[in-house]
Amino acid sequence: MLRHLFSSASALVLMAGCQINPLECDPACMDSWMDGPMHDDPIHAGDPTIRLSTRIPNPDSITLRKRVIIAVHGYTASTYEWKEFRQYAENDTSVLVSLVLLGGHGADLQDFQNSTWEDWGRPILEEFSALARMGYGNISLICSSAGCPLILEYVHDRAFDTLPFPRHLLMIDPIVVPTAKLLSAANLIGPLLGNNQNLGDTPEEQKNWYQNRPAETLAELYELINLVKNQLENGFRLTPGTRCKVWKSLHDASVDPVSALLIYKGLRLADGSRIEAELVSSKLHVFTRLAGRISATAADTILQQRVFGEILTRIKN
Amino acid sequence: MRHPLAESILGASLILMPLKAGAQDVVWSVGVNTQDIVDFEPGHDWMWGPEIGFSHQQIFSHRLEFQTQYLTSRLEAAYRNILREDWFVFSPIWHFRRDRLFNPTLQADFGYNRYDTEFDWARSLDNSTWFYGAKAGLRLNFFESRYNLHFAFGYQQALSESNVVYALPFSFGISHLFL
Repeated sequence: MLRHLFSSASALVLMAGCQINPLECDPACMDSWMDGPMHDDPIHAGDPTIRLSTRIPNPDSITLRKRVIIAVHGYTASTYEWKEFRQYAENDTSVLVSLVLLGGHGADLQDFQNSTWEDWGRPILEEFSALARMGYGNISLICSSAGCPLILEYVHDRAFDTLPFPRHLLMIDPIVVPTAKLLSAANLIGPLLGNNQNLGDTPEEQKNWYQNRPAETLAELYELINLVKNQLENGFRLTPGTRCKVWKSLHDASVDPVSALLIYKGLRLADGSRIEAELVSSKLHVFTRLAGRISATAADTILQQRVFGEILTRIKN
Repeated sequence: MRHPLAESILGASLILMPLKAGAQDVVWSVGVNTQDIVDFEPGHDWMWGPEIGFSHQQIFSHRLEFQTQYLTSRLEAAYRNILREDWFVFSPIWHFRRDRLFNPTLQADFGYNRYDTEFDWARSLDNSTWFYGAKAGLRLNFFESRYNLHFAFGYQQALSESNVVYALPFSFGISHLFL
């Protein structure tokens, strides 16, 4: 009996040590994916034009009066996710868009694997603080997917209380509940399963999103969304003056649309009134990003332009 | 029009009716069950509610029990912003040592889960799904098997893409058997 127990325990230990999908970067990964050394986010390549704080280091008084939008991408993505929006929004000369690269993202896979969700969120607050210090007074936040719970966590922790209040918090496909419910088992079976590969449809996607999702990062993602889900279930309020809207696509393979309902129930404006929410008919996750996709339809383009227009109208009012 | 809640109430009534007959071949049980998920993260939405079980001497000598449960988060939803969920579960349960102190069990779960969308803008959410699952568990029988504490852990899978049925459920409950 004891011998059986001992051999079963040994087998479990061995299994835990040997992952079914070990994290490996093969030649395709090395040469053409963001996971490898050849393709990094432009921020890592030293491009100063991505973040507003480095693009215009000494803004004049006219620039400081412009409306600023800090755009935050999601898990495994890069600043590419909001480039289309920046192009659209900055056609209006009264608007400036700053693209934030989440911590641990946009460089080699090893950096991503070793990062925590706290690392992911740090650059958001750094950019917000830097712009506030420079004198920008009208700053809004827009986020997609896992970028949103990172911001919500900051709101919950009152991180914006000592900064100029964000005028708007606009969320596109925010994640609180994943579509793949097995994510909740990331802590349990993740170390055994190891890496989860999710190949992008186009070379563009492979260059700008991690194709490998190390188990450690999936566990971090679940820890983050579970934390924010609980905070929402207990309820909390936005900073005084901040307005908020959530857009959520109905048929999203990554984020369950019920996430929007949980945010709507749990997050209130400072005066206690409800935020706004809208469900949109789309099969895309982060439906505002169409570049690099092969599955985008004409209806997706119409939706993207409508929502871009609405975001801009809100920001300017 | 068929409604899961109405069907569940009707089913419960039919099951409770013969209790007074006290036929020795038949064993009925009633209890309270709770369910949550295993994810090693703090804080969750507990589902809980009544369960009713039935077994018969001529069906594998009471080793196979048929159980129905209604689980809900509505009480917790009264004071927290959690979803108002309803779970209707039917479970054939195999008891390996039905009348012993330690009774390991295996069960299959078939059920229906739904939640209230609550707001007009959220009406187009796909808020219901059928699901199936399996659990392994252990029952501790007390007082000549008239009462038992039961615990089970397993896997469940929803049929709709959008749902709130997480993968690894565990349940804990207490039952009284009418022997």
